[in-house]
Amino acid sequence: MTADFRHAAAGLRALENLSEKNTVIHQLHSFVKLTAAVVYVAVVISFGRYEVSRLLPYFFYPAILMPISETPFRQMFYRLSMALPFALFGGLANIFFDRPPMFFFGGIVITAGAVSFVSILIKTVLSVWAVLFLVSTTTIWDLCGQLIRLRVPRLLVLQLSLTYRYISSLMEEACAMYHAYILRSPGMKKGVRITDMGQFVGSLLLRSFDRAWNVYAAMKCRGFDGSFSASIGDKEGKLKFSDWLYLFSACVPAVLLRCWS
Amino acid sequence: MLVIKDLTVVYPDGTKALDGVDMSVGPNERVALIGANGAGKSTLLSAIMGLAPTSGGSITMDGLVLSKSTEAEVRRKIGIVFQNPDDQLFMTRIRDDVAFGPRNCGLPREEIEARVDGALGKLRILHLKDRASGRLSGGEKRLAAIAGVLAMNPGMLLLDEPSSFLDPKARRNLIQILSSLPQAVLIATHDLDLASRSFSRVVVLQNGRVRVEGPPDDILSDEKKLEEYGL
Repeated sequence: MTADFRHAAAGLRALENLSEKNTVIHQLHSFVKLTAAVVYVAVVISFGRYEVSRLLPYFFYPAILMPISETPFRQMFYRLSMALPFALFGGLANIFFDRPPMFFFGGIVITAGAVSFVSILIKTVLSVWAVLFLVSTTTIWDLCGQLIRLRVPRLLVLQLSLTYRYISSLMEEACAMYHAYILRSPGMKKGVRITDMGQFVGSLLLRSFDRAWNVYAAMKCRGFDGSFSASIGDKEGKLKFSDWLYLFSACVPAVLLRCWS
Repeated sequence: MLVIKDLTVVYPDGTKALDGVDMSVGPNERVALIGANGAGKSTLLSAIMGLAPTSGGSITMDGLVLSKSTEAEVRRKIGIVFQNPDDQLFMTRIRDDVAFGPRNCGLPREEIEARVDGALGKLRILHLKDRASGRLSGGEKRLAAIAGVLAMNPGMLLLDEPSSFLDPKARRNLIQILSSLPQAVLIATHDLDLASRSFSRVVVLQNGRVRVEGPPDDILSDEKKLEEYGL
């Protein structure tokens, strides 16, 4: 379990570290990266449930952008795999309820449900990849800044950024507590006894609240007034030619592919 | 100048953490607050920043009385470095974390850059500017946390147990740096050696009250008295 916490915390840090790289993609303005990701996801999910073949060209995006941004395939695939079970369970129902045959493949009847099931999987993979790609090439603070610029309610952006910070504090506390627990529980191989679980979770909550309060107090003492408007999103300046170029070359083909049948 | 008069802090559970504290810290003065665990040192620092619930007395910084309406202004004049630097460093990159305070002050970009470089340079950690905060050693984190506060150009610096978690070399480095800062400094510490080396005045707290204050040599040389104060 300690390993699980550590793994999760390390995963979060790994994403942060990826976003700190200095490739051509990382140097782009976060506004264009966010806009391109939103357009890409919107286009991908706008396809009909039986349009599997039309979704395939969109795999060119990860194939081209991941090597340029030096994003490790393995790490991305691992994170993608965590989202896939949701799509699998969501799409399975289609196989059972959408039975009309659509075409034959080597003598096997392929039903409409099977096609829509594949389409859901592909859409999930592409959409989750776009989001992962965005967060692995842009820091959370830059993203929050752009969300504010895009007129997303400040309270929501504040919640997002503080929750992000709270998650890492929570995981650090959980890891430290579990360590202390397991070291004084000889014979226990894994996990927390069900009889201790209530106390464990209660203490974890209180400790992480304390920690979150300390972080918040430190922020307040450095002039943070709860709005976040002045503290983030103002450091990237205007869009450069390279930003416009990326925006154009990412969005236009995606939209054209959608329109062209 | 910081003036504290008859300050009382009672926590919601009824614990009286501070009981009529009177003390002051002059401009550019260096004061060490010492006392046993639970003496009220950290509570006093928190109260000065408006983070602890005061139930009596007053805190005045450069003529400005601390209240809900003035706490933001007081926090511009006083910077605090908490005991655990992990609580303080929350931006991914050191550069961004040090710039956090100046950005909140609404300073222009060039000024923010200058403040970041100035603060990091003063602490001789300019090379850490682009490093991720999670990858620093304890000593580096401590210095980065101090840089984050110095970048706001406070007139006074409060430090809670600055030498905790530090190895001897990092501790020596910290002592040197603290001695070179032009600001008034008030630290809460158990480290009597640090208090005697770098500070002009020592204030001893016990059970939330000021027991004695004076030059470090006078106070720290009397072992019998120190034991009486729980030190």
